[in-house]
Amino acid sequence: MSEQRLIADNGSNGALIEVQGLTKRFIGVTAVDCVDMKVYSGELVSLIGPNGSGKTTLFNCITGFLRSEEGRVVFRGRDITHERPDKIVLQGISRTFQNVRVFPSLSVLDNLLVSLQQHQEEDLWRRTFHAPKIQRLEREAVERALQLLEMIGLTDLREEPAHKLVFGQRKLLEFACALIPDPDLVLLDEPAAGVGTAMVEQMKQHILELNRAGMTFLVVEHNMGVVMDISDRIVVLDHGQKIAEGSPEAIREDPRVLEAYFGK
Amino acid sequence: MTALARARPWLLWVAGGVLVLALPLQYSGGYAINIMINTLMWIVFALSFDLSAGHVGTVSLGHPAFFGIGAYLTALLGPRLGLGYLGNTLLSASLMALLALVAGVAFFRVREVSFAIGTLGAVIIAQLIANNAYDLTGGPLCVKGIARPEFAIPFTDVTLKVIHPLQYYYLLVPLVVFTIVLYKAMTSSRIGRAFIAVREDEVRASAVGIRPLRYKLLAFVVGGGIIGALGSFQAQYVTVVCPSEIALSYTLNLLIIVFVGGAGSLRGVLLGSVIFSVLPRLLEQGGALSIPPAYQQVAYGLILILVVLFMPDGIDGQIRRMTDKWHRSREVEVGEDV
Amino acid sequence: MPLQLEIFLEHLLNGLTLGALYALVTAGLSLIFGVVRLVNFAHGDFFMVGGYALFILLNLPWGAIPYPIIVILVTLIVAVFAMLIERLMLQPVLDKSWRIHAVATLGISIVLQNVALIIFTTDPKQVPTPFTTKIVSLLGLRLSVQRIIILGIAVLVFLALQWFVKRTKLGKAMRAVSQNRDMCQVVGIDVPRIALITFAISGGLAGLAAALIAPLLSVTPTMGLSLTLKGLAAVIMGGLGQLNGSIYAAFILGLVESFFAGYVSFAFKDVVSFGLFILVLFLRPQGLFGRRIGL
Repeated sequence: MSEQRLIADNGSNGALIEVQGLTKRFIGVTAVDCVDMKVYSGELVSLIGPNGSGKTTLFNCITGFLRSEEGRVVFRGRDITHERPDKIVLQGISRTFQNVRVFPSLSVLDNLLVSLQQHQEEDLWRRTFHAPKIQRLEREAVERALQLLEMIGLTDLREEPAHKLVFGQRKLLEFACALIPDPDLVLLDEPAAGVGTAMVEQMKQHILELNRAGMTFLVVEHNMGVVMDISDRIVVLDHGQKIAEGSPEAIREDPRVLEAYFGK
Repeated sequence: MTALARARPWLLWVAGGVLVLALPLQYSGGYAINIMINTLMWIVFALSFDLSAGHVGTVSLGHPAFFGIGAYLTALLGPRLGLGYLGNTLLSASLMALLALVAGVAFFRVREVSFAIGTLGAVIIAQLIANNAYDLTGGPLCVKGIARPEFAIPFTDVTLKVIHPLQYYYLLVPLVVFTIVLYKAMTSSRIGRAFIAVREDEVRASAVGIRPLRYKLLAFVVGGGIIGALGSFQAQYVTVVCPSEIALSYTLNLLIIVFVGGAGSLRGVLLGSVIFSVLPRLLEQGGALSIPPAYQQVAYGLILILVVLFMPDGIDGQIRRMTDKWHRSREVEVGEDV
Repeated sequence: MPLQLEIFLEHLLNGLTLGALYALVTAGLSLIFGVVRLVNFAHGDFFMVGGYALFILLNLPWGAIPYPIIVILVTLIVAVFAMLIERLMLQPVLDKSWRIHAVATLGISIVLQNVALIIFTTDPKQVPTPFTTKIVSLLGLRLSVQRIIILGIAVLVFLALQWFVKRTKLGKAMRAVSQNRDMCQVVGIDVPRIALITFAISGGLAGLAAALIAPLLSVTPTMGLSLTLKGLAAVIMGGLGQLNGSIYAAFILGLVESFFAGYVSFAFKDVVSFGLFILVLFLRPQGLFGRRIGL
């Protein structure tokens, strides 16, 4: 185990997360085909590609929701390839979902609190009987949740059940839920999809500000304007394979990318 | 918030407690006290069912198995081990918690409908075995003559033998209090929040670091243990255990109580239990009309359908909506004053 | 013919008849689950309703109707009955969670059983047809014509069902709804109508089963419950929403039950069939014929 970790440390060259030769097959389709990629601490990397190119599948493999057949995922030098999703989150990888998932009957505030509580150290007994330590942790959690609500502008709605929010607000809430544990890496699945221009702009600003403050992002996004504006680096997938990687300027000019998107 | 409003929940609990303790002294006649014991038993049964069904969202249709097997354990092992009331109850509780753990690990591999029907299959098997394994359970002839609880009073030679229903009532109260406190503590804490997260979206729950299986098991094991204890009480109360204690009709009653009262709500389940156990008897008593069971069942079925159609959150949801409206209208008035 | 072989064939035939019964019930359950995602705990009671309809039609005061017409009538009666139940009680809750569905259909089941109990009492009602006592000799095996009719019609019905689901416009619409309900609404498929038709077909199958197979049993108010449970077990064993898989599973259950009851123990036959169901649940949670579905 320790030997393996050592190898991983050498192999990852200080990358925060490294995906090595990851392959995921469904019946008859190879959704992700031997993909290698790295994200360094503090970077903002975008993952783009035509529909069905395997972006979300790659996300699901990294976060443990799907079991990859081959390859490894190394996070902070530790192999997390086949770990359970809940364990991976607790190590510092948060994510959002393409179809936006919040807990509909929990209040906005509770949605945030439930996203943080598993990260706070505690035991089951204390958690049941509201021992003083839990009350302290709960106060801290509420404080942090209120800060985030202030940031995304949902403070007034904090007591409302999440199902009463409109789509854009749910999206912001899910985003805040991903941020509340102060993760090392945030995976965003189409943060700008399905919302109006004002909201896209707001989302962009949040991501950029947080990135400037040192948070690392891996973003799947279709809105090329957003991708070109925010990314340090872009990885392009097509039919499950990585076909290009580079700065926004380089990707814009890359013939393989143009071909994947527009055909010959 | 005024001091009274803040104190009100406490007052309610104290008043309820006094009522529970004092009521049987007023009506200790055979019929009334039996109804009261019945009510308390359904409260325990339904709360432990609701912990899974209402909060974590895992509806096990096999819950009566814990009750029946818990009762059989006391009936069959009690005399051999000579444990006494507390020992019997704890034994049934711990073994049923263990069974719930094992069954949970096995059955939680499947979800929702498959889980519900899988557990239903298990309870049918348990009942068939109880009915047909004559050597073990006596089949339909039941296990009879189970010892009544006895308590040696400390520092005297007196042994108190529990015989009267009134004594059984007070013997049951601690289990009821324990169940309510545990239910309240679990569901109103961070665990309760995790329960709801699992119920609403397991995938999303995993994505915030909650392991669904862990919380499903927790609710299932706690519920199984409590029901096991209740089954042991039942065995020592009626002193007979029959295969009919592992009956599907119990599952139906649980669904009626929990969903008519209000799934996932302490107040709702308490109301549901009381209404379910008291109302039909009151009708019978008061109107001197005896309702044949079949008509009663038709009424239950219709109530279930009507509740599902018109009050999907049960009685509790209806109350909540009414009080919300009341609070809102008051807020508006206060706002205008200022 | 050696006696042992004869006994074996007898169990086989019993198993197939039982399998046909389970399969007709299961097919209806599976269709409803597939199309509207509803687990119908009252489905076995549709069969019971059919049984009593058969009882009434066989005992009309103004003389007997020919059996084939009775079969058609019972099928239609239960089909209409199922449509009524869907429209009045289930349609408003179709988009709710499966928990609500379970409670609603259990409520319906309780009402149906007890109304039957009030009207017909607990006395089992015999519903013999002209064919139950008519015996033919086939390959040295004596069997009642009713059984031959059952197996023949069951096979025809399953073939017709295949054709219907795969080839007809309505069947294709049903499959479309089962795969993506929201999308169907977008492209203009009338989803509530499809749901109603699904209930009609499923009720009709239960009615047909009652008209054919109740004559071999006897009709009681509570007979539906065990059928519902076996049917649900078969639906899950076959893979939820997989019509063919659930039909195969129903025949497997019928055969296993018949052989176990014949060779080992009658009392424990249901322990074995439900045990088999649970075993399948543990070993292949996606069902014997189902596919594992990803995220």
